[in-house]
Amino acid sequence: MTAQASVPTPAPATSPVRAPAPGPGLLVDVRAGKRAARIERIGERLVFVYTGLVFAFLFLPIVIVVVYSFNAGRHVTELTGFSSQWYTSAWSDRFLMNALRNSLTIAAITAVLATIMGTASALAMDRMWPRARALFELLTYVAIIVPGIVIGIATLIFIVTALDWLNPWLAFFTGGSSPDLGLGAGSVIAAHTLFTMAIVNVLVRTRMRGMDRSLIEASEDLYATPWRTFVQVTFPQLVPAIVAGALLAFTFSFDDFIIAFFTSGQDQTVPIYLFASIRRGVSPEVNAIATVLLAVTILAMVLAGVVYRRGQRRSGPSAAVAGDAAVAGVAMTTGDRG
Amino acid sequence: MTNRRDPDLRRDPEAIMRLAIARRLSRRHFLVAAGTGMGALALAACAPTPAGTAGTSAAPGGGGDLGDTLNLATWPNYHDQAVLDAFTASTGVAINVGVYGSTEEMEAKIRAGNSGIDVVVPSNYAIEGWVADSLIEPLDYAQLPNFKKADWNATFMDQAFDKGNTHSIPKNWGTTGIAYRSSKVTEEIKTWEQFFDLAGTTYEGKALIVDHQISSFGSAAVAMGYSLNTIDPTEMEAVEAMLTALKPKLFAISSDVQPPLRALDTWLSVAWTGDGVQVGRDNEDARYVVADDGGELWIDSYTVAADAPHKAAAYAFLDYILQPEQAAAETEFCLFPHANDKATELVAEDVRTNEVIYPPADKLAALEYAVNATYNSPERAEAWARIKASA
Amino acid sequence: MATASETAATDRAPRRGPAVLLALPTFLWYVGFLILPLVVLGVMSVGERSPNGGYTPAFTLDQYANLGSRITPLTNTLGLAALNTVICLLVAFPVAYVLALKVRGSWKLVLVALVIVPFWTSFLIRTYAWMTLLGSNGVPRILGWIGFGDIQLLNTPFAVSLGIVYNYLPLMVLPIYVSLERLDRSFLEASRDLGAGPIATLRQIVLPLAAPGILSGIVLVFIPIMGEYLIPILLGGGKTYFLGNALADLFLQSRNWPFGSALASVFVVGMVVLVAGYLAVSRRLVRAGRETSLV
Repeated sequence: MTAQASVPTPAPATSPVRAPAPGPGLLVDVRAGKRAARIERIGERLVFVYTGLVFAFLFLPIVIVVVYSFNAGRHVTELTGFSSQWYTSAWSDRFLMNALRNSLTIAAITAVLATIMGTASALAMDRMWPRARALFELLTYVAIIVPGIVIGIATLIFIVTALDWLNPWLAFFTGGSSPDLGLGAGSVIAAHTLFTMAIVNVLVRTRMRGMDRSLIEASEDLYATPWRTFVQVTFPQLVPAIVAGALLAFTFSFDDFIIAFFTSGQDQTVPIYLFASIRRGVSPEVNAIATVLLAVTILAMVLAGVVYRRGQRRSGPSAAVAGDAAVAGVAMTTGDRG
Repeated sequence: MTNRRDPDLRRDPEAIMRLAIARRLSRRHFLVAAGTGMGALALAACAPTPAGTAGTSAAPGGGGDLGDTLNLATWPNYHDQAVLDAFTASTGVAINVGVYGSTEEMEAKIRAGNSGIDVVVPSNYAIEGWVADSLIEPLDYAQLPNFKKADWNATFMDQAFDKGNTHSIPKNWGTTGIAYRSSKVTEEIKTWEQFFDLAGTTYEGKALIVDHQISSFGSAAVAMGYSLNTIDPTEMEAVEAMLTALKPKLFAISSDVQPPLRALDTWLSVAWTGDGVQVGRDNEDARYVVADDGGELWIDSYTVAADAPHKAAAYAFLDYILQPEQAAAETEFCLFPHANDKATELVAEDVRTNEVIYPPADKLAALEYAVNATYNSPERAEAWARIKASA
Repeated sequence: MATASETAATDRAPRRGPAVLLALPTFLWYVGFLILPLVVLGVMSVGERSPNGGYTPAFTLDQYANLGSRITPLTNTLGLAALNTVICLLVAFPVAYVLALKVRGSWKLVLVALVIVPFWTSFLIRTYAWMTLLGSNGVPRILGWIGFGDIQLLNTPFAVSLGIVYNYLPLMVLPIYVSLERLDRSFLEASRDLGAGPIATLRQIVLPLAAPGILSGIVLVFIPIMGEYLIPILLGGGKTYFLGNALADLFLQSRNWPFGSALASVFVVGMVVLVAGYLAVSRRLVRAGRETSLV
């Protein structure tokens, strides 16, 4: 009986690996071992190739977009040569620039609000009664998971109902000189902040979990006030997560289509403009826009990575860098559902 | 070629119109040229600010009591940007154009309220319901001094959906017809019956119907010999059965008619006038046919939202855009026929004589307007949802 | 392992008080823009459709009674969501495994970033690129050259599944990666020393320890797919009808707000139940000493 055939089933308790039953099972058959090693090597190679294929799959559309943004021809059927005309014509498209301005404004304000409130709530959750924290956790998770279409519709209906009630009062109190509030960038910001604030919250809390508490305890033992402890010990450790959260909030808000579609009133954002373009038979300008956005985002993320890395070196174990990046990535792609 | 950056042009809307009509540059060319010239001005003037609060105007000639923004809810490629820019130049009111794919989408915003929309361009069948629910206001003709009823085509004025035009003034009208690429479709398609038959058999996987209950369900009803507007349960059941059986054989149910037709992903398609014309302009073999056995005739009209925040600007705009010169420029741009006869006279000859844009009267006789009862019929809506949900 | 001290740290009695107020703005925001809108949705769901579309205040359960008419999109969506979640899992797991366990330190960050980078292009643009790739001028044309002529790829359930798997892959890869990353390598070495083959090691050590990540990935992928709206339209040509499409159509086409609200309410309730269940299971896993997932 070779060792291979006698792998023990794991005990139901904590440790998944248990010593094998005593007996000749501990003798290793050399030939079987070599065969196993070879199978394992082939298997490993296959898995690596497979991973490479998956990455190729992930990048295929991106490559198409970038390549065709420089294509001189109009149609995707011909690759006629290098040209940057789509970039210049995109720049002179006033509707696009309008939408761009809206998107940037909305995303910036959303990022600021989400970062402040998300971080604040993460800090608060650390000190909450377990019941309250559980409730908050549920709210946070629901805010992240609720599909954009439900949020968009529900926010639209709620805001107009609320404004129907609010506007007459505003007019009453200000003697009729207040502007009639309506759907617009404000309602988009409200809905975007809801979601992104939850993401920042998750990121900061994850970071807090991995944080070295002993530093905080030491600071308290040394009679530092809570405020000083926060400013000099806690906050610096959280900065990478906060910065990552801010960038994610910005990117999500900029990229969102479905929520903006319902709540934006008359203001167009870039995704709304893109959607309309796609449906009408898009010009390759769209590819140019996408490439620029991609380049900007990559730059921002590289920047965030550098800041994050530096924060890591100063504060905690470095092994978690990739892990936290993964968490950030999850949060990001959760938002990027169109 | 005239320098589009000539500053005089910005202050002389008439000159622009004459130039547009006389030159007939490609739309794209003109857009870019006009855009570059007026870009700076328009960009500065057209600054939308959050929650619809007031911004600053950089245009000369001052906003005055018209304000500085106007929100227009309309269709894609429906307005000549040069015409809109000329309005902005002379009044200082920047026009914020919101583009919608369907009347239903416009209604979603208008009905929700507080949408900030001033002027909205719905299709005829929605107007009755909007009036009943006070979503649009009765037009104040006193503020439209340039409106001369006599100039307008009687076929499109004073219709059942808005008797006396109390709430709406037509902009463009058009038809729902069959667009096909004759290089791939060897038959000459003349009727809806033919269309639906071919879509399910010879050209399986190459046909498209629009995601619009009235146009698609209605045309299918016509193909089976019923009225476009039928809400009779037995008839609707038959149409539903036909469409449900057809659906797996279609290329798509989508209102984005042009991209697949241009790419030859679809060879035949339900389409609207403008689609037919635009594809036809770029492709020799594209045909647009008004069916012999009937079909939909529609009108898109200007209306003013009841809760419009910029009413004065709205009326100033309407007064301007409804004049024949502007109407003609718009027609030349979007290639949809205009309901103003004077405008039709001013339009370039090749547009006026284009039978796709201006079908002969006998072709129009077979067509019907979609009615509000059909638009709002829950049974029609459910039937359509069931078709879309079917396997 | 940080678990024990983490649990201890979060459960010890911290100083409560003013710090909790920090959560107030967030709480108000949740109430104002999450809870209240959902409440309004609920109220509308017991109303009636006005004859011209929209909402008339009323109290009737007719809308809920009528939900049966949307059973087809519901089962359709459930089925496709489940299928695509499984496909995602199968595609993602090996990638996460390789990244977490077979790749050295500095490469890890680069590769994880590479998984995310495609998602820094706009969602719409990515999907449009797929429309081009799967349209008649893309892959089908290439297939035609090698003899498989006349295959339609766009506007098929295949295209929709492809689009979904493509867009949700990172959401499945990353949580599994995070879980596997925290795996103690010595377990794997011990397993090999004890003679277990790679498959057995996988089945009995890796999978159980990756369970929180897998569970997390499943939840993060399944629920959003249920709400998908754009992919069925752009890649399915309107022929695949998801719950999200049914919902949008009720508000935009039928203009039947009460019925749409009823559908949305049921959807939200179902989803909250799923999420609460997931959080409960996740908390139990934490207490059992395994690593937590993301929240």
